[in-house]
Amino acid sequence: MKGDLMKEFEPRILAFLCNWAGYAAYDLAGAKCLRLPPILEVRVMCTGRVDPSQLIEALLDGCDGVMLVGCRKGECRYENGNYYAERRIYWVRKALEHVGIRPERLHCNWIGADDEQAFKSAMEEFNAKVASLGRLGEADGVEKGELESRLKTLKEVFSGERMRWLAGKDLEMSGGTDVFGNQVSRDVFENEVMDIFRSEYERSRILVASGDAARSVAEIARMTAISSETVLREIIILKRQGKLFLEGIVEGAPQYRRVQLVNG
Amino acid sequence: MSQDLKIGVFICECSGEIGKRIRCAELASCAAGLEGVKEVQTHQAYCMPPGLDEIKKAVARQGLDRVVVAGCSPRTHETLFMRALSEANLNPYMLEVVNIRDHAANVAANEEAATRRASAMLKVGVARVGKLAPLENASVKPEKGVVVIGAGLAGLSAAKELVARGFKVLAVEKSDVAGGMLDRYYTMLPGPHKTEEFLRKMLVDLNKSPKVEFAFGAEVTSLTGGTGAYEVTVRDRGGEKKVSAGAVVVATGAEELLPEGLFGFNGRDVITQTGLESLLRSGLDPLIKSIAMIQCAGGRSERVPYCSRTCCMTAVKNALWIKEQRPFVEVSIIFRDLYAGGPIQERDIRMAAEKRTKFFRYEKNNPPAVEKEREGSVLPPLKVVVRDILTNTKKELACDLVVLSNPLVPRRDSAKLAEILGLPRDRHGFLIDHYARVKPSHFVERGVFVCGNVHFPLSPYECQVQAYGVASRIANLLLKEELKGSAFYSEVDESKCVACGLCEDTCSFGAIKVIQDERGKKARSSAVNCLGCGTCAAGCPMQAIGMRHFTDGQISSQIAAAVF
Repeated sequence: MKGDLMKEFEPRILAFLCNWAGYAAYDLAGAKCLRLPPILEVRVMCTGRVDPSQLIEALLDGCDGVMLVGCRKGECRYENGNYYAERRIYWVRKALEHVGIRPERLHCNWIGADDEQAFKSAMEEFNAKVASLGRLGEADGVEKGELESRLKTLKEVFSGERMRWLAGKDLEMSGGTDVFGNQVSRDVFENEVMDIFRSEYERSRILVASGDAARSVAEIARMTAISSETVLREIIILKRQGKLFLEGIVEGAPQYRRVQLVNG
Repeated sequence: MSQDLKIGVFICECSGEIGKRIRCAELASCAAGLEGVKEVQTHQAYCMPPGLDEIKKAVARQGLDRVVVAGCSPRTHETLFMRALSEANLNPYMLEVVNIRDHAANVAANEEAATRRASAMLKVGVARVGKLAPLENASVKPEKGVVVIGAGLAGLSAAKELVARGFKVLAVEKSDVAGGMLDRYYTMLPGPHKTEEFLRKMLVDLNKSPKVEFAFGAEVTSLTGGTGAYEVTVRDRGGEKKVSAGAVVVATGAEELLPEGLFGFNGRDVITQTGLESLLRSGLDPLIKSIAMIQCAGGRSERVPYCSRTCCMTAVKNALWIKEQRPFVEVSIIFRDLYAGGPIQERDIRMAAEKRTKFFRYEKNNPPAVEKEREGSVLPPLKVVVRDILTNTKKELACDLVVLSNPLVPRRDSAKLAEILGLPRDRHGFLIDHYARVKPSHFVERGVFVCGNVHFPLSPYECQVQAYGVASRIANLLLKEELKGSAFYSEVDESKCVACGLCEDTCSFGAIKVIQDERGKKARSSAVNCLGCGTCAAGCPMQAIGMRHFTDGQISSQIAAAVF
């Protein structure tokens, strides 16, 4: 059964491996000549290095699944890198779910550097999982252009300060209290974050829609399926933030375009 | 940009390990087609001297500026190739090692799959190497001075050792005298040495040296800079002054938890062990004929769940001292568990028993009770009622004095100090080692060390051992001409930073902190302290933090190239 699936569809999987556990276990698995499914790796010093926006970037570049392999909890070389990585992946998964992409496409594994069998089974399980999910987009029922714009929007959201801040504060908030010393229940926190995420997503969607060409409010509203009142309101905010500018007026409709930052 | 790249790809056959399983010629032709690749070679074993020479020669001949070695693990062989690159006058960080042996040759099902896999990996490696930048290791010339906070036994011992190793020491003491807790003990564990004499000798030794300076009535209010080059702000009555130091020793000790409300504690006839010590110093009242000591008075409870470690031995020590001076005074020790690790301690317990000290054992849920004898009675004024589980009998001990062995707890100001120094505390509030199990005397920041009771309750002997350990660690660190850090460390783009402080929370090593200075309030990273994990960079809300050698651009290029 698994063999058949593999023949039909070979998923493209990228693994971020931490130098001390994931990569070391891969080395060991190799030294022991274990059979491993084809997964390409990026070596980082710690899974904590993996930026949430880069997880989405990998999907945007055509990966069907992305996995993180790091040290076991409490064994992180840098003490808490994997805890932060887990929280980031948690929120990116939530976000993927929100935009109709199977969150299982992101996965994190915490294994020991000496546990090549665990590494092998993690690889195999994830490979089989993604193989059963199918090609990104197609299998999720999202058409190609739409998939790209959704992922681009997500990347925008996770490059923005609000979601990054919340994902970073999650560890502290979920175990402790807010700045006023009140205990925050997990549900309340999650709802708050998802509310913020939804508003960020909407705004980023407008930003992405105006990215490739100058567009009018009506055009953007049609493209994003957001009501034109909201689009207008958001455009005013974005303009004030210096992220959009008025390029010109065509047939009485103002055309807005995204300010492109030159990346140094 | 890509026109300027001169990448050399060296494919190692690993003496057949790779050569037999991967079609290296096919791999080489695939590599030759990649952007920026100027030279592709294969060799039997690049890790051997002839192979390394080949790399060096190729670098010189072709003027290569970046090298990809496709062979075995960077975890084992990276430093070897880095050295070769240095010898070829190339920055050693312009290297990427692609592990096609363990990650392709050995794990793929057949030659076809292995070759496909290896060439995909090579593509990622070449993409990454094109984005690499030459790096230098962070380095600092360490300051040869140390600030010791706390002039108790641990602090003084550390200072003594540091001075002996040639360092300048500033001892910052909150009170007006040196000695700390030593002051409160008449004799010192484990033997019958007088604390006063010991302390006096130590201070005389220290004062002889011109390298020691004391600041009394002073405290540390801030710590900036990094390992080897700290700037410590010390505030005393005269005002604040800034001291530069290579390292900081924290030896602020602990404090006693007074057994308020326990066993009728009143400070007169129900006193603490330190109270007894001061009675012993002034000479025990001759009217006192019998003394009962109650152990774990406040310790190993809900409030203080840990064992304070030294109180059992202090009780035994004091019992022995009393028995020696006044053989006819009755001493009873009422304990839950007698903590006495070590040969001297075992011997002391036996000696105390031989000198007719009585031992009774009680259970946690059935503690002894201290009762007052009624007025006008001829019996001694106090009565301790205890259920002794050694004999399973109820004992009533008439006594003139009840001594409570109370535990040591973290000082009230230790939280503030931990915050100033960026040190973690355990759930009780003691400052802790970084890796308590495997790396004693390693602390979060490479230049901040902790010793003595501030760490956890210790006997004087252990305090000194810790202090000496810390002193030798500091010598290890600061006697070097140059302190080397990693070449990959975080860098803050100050134009983007909004000083939110998330990076500071993220970093377990105090390497990145939000600091207010003349350039404004910004996160600043200490290159020497940074271990290069990059967790701060991936979390920065403003994306203001860059991680050298694992930059966003490098990782993105790898992601983009990762296609089979």
